[in-house]
Amino acid sequence: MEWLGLSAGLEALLALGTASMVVALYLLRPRRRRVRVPFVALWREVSANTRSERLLSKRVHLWSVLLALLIALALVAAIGDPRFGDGNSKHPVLILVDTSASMAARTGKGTRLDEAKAAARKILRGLDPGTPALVASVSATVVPETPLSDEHALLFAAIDDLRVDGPAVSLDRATSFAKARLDGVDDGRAFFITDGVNVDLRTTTALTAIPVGGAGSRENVAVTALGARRHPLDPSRLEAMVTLWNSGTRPRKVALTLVGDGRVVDTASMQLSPGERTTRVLPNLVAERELEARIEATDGIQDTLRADDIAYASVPRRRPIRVLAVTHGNLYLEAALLLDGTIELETASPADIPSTAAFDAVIFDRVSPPAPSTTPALYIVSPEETTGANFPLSPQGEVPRPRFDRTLRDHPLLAWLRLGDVNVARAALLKPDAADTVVAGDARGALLVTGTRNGAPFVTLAFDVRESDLPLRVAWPVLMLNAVDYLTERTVEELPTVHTGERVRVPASTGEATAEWTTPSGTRHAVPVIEGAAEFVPTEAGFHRIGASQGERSVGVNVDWESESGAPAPRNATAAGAEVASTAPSWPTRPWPWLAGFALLLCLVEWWTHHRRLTV
Amino acid sequence: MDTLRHHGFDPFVIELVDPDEAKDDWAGDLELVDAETGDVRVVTMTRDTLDGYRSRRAARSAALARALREKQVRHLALNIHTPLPDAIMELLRHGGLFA
Repeated sequence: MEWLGLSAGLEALLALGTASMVVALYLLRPRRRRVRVPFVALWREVSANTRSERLLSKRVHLWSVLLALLIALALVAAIGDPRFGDGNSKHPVLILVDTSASMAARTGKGTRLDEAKAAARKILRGLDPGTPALVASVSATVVPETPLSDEHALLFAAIDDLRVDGPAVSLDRATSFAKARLDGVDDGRAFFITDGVNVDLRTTTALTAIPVGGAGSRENVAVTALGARRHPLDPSRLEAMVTLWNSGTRPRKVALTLVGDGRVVDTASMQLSPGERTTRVLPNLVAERELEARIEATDGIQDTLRADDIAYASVPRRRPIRVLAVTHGNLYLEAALLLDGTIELETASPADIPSTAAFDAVIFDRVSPPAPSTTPALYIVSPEETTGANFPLSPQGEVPRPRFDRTLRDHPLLAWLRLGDVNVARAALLKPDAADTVVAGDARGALLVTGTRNGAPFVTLAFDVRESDLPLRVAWPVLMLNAVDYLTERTVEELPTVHTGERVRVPASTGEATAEWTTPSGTRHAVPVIEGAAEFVPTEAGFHRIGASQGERSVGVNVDWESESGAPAPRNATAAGAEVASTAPSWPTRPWPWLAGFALLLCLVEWWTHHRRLTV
Repeated sequence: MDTLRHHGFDPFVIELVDPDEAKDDWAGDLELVDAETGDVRVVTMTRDTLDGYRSRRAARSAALARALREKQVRHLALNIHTPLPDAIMELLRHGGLFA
């Protein structure tokens, strides 16, 4: 036992002095008052009828002294703040607290994390002064929040500052951390306070598990998946796939809201049976950067876990490109390219062709290029209007009424296209090289050819579209957009669904060493750019932004609610849990409140006995 | 009393009563000194002690009055604070000498 309030010597001195003073006060009673009475024998009958009563009177006097001594000594002991220990208390203690997302679940008055904090404080209060301890948070990684320290105030502050992290808890890392910290230490102990979600505590013996979160409602609906993709035929529109999971025991009704770039873009009502997982595809959404799915209970049942009521997804991004159209004027062509908002179209007359180096692609519409193009180019040729040697494929003649009889169906230029019934009045006769690819045509000649010249890809359409019904068909803008995408090698940047704790790679400029990473809470970090991609490991759900010279990109990060939204482990799920209960001290290790309470109780006893005339 | 009556006396008992005896402000340890004999008795005075004394004293007075009445002995309880002339008149009135 140690004394924290006073030294042991001072405590003994104070106890001795107090006891002496109490005894002295009892011995040094004030002089009795003398009163004359007419017949003292009558008083004798009243005050002391029998010998046994006189003896009782002496005992009462003794009890009174003892009572006063007990009160005084209890107060003196309380002032000394004694601490009991098991004599083996200087061994280090590790307090590992699960801060994974599931710890945010409500359990009545607070959250599971609040329960875990209370358990951690209880462990700390039970430690002897001077016992070194460490507080660490455990999610995907183990983060020591304090050094191994005997300054318990520091440890209490660290416990207060614990926050729910996000990634699923890694029991292996927690175990490894505990083993590493306690390696070579005799009788060190590691406590792991967790709700047991996504953790099989029976697999470890290095940690003494303390289960929390067993109480409270189990009703919960979670958004376990959200994905967004651009519509193949209209990249300006989105499709979203949302998966909801009712992990509770009652049927639930929820309102699903999809928010695109901060604005509500769709809503839906959904009903889920107990344990049901349901997936819904919502088409025709509009968003450019970010998409959120939020659910809200409409049946009045409160969710256990609110954090899983929202999910984040990045909208696949299309790289903006600049296209130069050299034409005498072709509204069909311009209208088709203007359908894609990410294409910056400039037109030029054949007499005033600017440098093409600043463009991602050039379209020569019935115009001969002034020089062989080193920029990816689409050539729309006509047997009459095109001459010159700068075409990759110069017209060699004319083919009347050509047909799209032979097509490479799987070629990217023909994606989403069916050209078999297109009517063409005439086409130029082309002679492709052996290395070129004839994408479409008939036995007489090629109508759509692609290849490479001067290191740049090209696509040649062998007829004037005005001499066909192609511009009147849906296939026309699709063909033009396919051609631009093919020439610029532009694809939709699909970012996979990212969970907290997983490594994320975001394309970045290879010329940069670092990129700025901004978390949803606003914290900024510099992350390295490795092989053209910025890498980071998010631990927070929400939209993370990576800023680079190419522009800022947003990455939606979600907690893996499929595993984190489950119910907590029951309290008797682990043998280790029982071990904790058995190792809890059976006496108060910090007894000053009990001593003070004991003194108060004695005062109450003295008050009661006094008014019952037992001690007077 | 019987001896007095046997020898032809007509006894008259006067009981002197002090109403201030056993005052309410008596508390704690007191040394009670017998006014006649000088005997000393230490008593821890409490409410119960006072009440007990008063009831015991009242019972003793009642018993005395009852015993004297049975023996047809006249008895007068006289307040000691009664002025002497009034006390004499009271005595004569109870003694039948004065109507």
